[in-house]
Amino acid sequence: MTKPGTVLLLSTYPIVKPQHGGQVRLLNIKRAYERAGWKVASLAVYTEESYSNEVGSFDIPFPATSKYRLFNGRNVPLITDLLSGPFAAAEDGGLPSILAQIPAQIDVIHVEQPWLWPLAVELKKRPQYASAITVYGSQNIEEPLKRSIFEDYNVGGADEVLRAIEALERNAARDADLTLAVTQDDAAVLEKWGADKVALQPNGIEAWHADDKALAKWREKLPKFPWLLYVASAHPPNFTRFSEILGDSLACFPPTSRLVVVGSVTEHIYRVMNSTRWSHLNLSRLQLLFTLSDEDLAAVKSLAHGFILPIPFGGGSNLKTAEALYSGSYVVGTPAAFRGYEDCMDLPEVRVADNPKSFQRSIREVLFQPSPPPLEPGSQALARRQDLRWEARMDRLPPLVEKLMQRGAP
Amino acid sequence: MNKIWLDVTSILGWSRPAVGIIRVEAECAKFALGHLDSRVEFCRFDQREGYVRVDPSEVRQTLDRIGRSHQPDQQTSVSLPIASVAPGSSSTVRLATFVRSVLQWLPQIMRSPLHRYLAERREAARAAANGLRELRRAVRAWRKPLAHMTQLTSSPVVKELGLPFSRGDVYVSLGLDWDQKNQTYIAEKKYSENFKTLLCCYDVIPVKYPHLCVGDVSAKFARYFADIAWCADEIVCISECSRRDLLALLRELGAPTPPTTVIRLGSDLPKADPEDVRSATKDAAGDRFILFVSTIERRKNHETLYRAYTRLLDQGETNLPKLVFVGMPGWGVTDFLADLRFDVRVARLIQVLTNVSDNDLMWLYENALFTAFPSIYEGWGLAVAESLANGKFCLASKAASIPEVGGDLIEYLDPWDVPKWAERLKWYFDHPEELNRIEELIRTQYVAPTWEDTAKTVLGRAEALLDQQRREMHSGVDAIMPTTEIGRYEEPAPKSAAAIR
Repeated sequence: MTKPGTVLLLSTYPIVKPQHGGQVRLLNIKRAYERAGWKVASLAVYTEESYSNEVGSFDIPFPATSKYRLFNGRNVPLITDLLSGPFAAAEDGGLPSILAQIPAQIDVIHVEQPWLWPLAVELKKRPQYASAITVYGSQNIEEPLKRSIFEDYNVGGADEVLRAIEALERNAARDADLTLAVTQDDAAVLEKWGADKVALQPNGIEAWHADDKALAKWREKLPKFPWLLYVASAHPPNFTRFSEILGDSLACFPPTSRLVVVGSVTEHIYRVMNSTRWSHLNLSRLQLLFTLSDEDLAAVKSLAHGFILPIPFGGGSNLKTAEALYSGSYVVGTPAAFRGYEDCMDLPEVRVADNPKSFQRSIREVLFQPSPPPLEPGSQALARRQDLRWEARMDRLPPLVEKLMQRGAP
Repeated sequence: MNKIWLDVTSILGWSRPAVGIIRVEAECAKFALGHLDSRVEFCRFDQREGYVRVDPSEVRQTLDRIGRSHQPDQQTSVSLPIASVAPGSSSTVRLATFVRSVLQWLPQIMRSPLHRYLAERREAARAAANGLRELRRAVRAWRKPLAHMTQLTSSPVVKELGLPFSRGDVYVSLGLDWDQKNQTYIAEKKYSENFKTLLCCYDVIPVKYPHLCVGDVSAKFARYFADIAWCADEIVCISECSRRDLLALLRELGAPTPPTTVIRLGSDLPKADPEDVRSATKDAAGDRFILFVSTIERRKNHETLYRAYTRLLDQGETNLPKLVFVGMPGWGVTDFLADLRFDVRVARLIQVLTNVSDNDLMWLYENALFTAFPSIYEGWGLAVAESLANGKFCLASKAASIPEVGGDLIEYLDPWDVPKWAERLKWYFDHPEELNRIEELIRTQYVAPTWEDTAKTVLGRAEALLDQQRREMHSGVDAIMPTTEIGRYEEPAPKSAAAIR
């Protein structure tokens, strides 16, 4: 067996204090490598306006004033991820700083999402890194996702950008020694693009435990009647079609209940629902908690009667889906929300709704169902949920990489 | 023994003649008093106290007070009757009520000019109040940008308030619930105490046609209807049209669809005593007149009749009967009332009567050539029913529920088709023999629903819920769940209401 070496993780977000799904996944990848005995250097090329605090020692900012913030001389919104690659790989961009601080010896370059693939290519040109194995961690098929986001934000004339994104993804898939996909559908696309070795590496969850004090505190603050929870980040697909998926109305919640919203999506949900025709009704059914500490979030998740997953599109799979499924509570979600967790759609507490009426009906129905019974130790139901944990899912990764090294790739 | 609790909150706070919703609550209370047994109790809701039992003697006094409340001295003027302030009323309403109360204490000689002075400046006062309110909102938003979301960070905390209902009782509310009740409290208590509720839908006009109502009421009423859908074991609707509209709205909102029953509102009024009819009423109406009984507001579409009349005048008609509007001026008709005041063509031809007593109203119905009702939208169309109950033909709008009221006995027109209204008015003016023929038909074929029938139907539905509750309790079903199948979207089959004729 090959001895574990050093892995360089490349991303466009720091993972010191993970908030959104991409950060959480990457942190768990890092932990999996570390558990397997690898040394891990994590380097994020981050937008300084988004992540000013809580950055790691290798992380470098992508300045708001950089000339690389323009796409072919044009200012195109919502593509700093795409632009961070050319910045990181450029001599007059981030490359000198990056070369100055990354380890001299790197065995594996793991690029999470395709954005920093140009940097990986640039590093591989250096003799000291030329033999490093490249791993492309695909979280989504990015081009259609970006296309949907552009449509939602009315960003026109961006075909060139979309072509650039697809080209980047294709290059990463084709040239990487190992490509990771989060769903079977994504894996099929990546293989079609010429990826040699594609491994399915679905998202997982961090098991949580709520302490009694936090539970008591939140029991006081939350509705006494069954209520549902929506936990999400401010990633556009989490809110741009939220109202549409719920039929523009939260009347499916009784006046005694609430849709409790947690995470950085909160302010967006308020804005979206406040601009609906039924704003007065909709706001009366919301309880907004914004971003919570881990302790508070654990308590709120433990007390929820159920979760909603109003995810309209996007490749990849959602961490919040895994969390909702793991909870054992009711889950009402769109078909897109269960991407990567198709094997869990038959669970008795899961409701899949492919249109607004069905979504509303499912909410009404689960709110009047008794809480699902606790999962019995040793039961198959519990085992299926244990398999959703990050440890169970990510510990499969290091052996794959070690196997490649053994074979002497590239 | 389980009881039916009839909510009388709206009539307790009312001091004007009973019209519309108030009349329904009052007539049901009157019927319940007349047929009072130990199964019926009265209650009211107060935002601070919760539900409180009301003694039948207090209900009797209230009904007497409402029956005596018309103000004949102010007839034909725009009056501002004193209404008690409902709990939770806006500061504007509270201020207006306070001003009216103060005016009541002044001598008549001072009151009338001051009253007129203030009435003319109502718009200015409203604009100033809105300006101050917006300024206050701006200052607050500036100081605490996220404060508007603060209220959304807490759960629905319902204070523990009074509730005299017992497990198995039935609560009936037919009043101005969107202003006076707390549906969250009803929903919470209904599930915890296990009583049944019978609520009422008059119409969904504020949601369907918000532009015809005061301010932005659409969102507020959408919440109200969604809330009652969650609270009600049954909803009585005053027409098939209202029932259809309500179910369509609830389906659109994704709320549950409780069982619904259509009731018919009474239209019986006592015969006029000609000796008691005031001369002012007779003088205003003259010998030959047609009648339109309704609040003067945009939705009622008085404008179509006015334009039809001016069209006939412009065509050279000289022998037109008077057009008598009976009703209080409401919202959105300032320009229209100004037209009536300044248009010399109709100066003596169109009369506006306000605060008309029941006796005078009956006299007007009995002596009118016929009635007109060009409303744009209705939940029912009481004036059409009253016209028929008094044996009078009505030229009516074909919109919404109105054809349900008049059936085949009257003629319906597009409410916006002014030329057609002018043509048909003229035709009926010129064909009194046809009016006589129709009146004969009405006399032989129309059976006017009585208010007693209405009350019987409502309390009959409450009795049915009481029985249902009893059966459920005996069979061990703890009916804390909504009666409605909450996942259902299909329109439920209408229940047959025995009292519908």
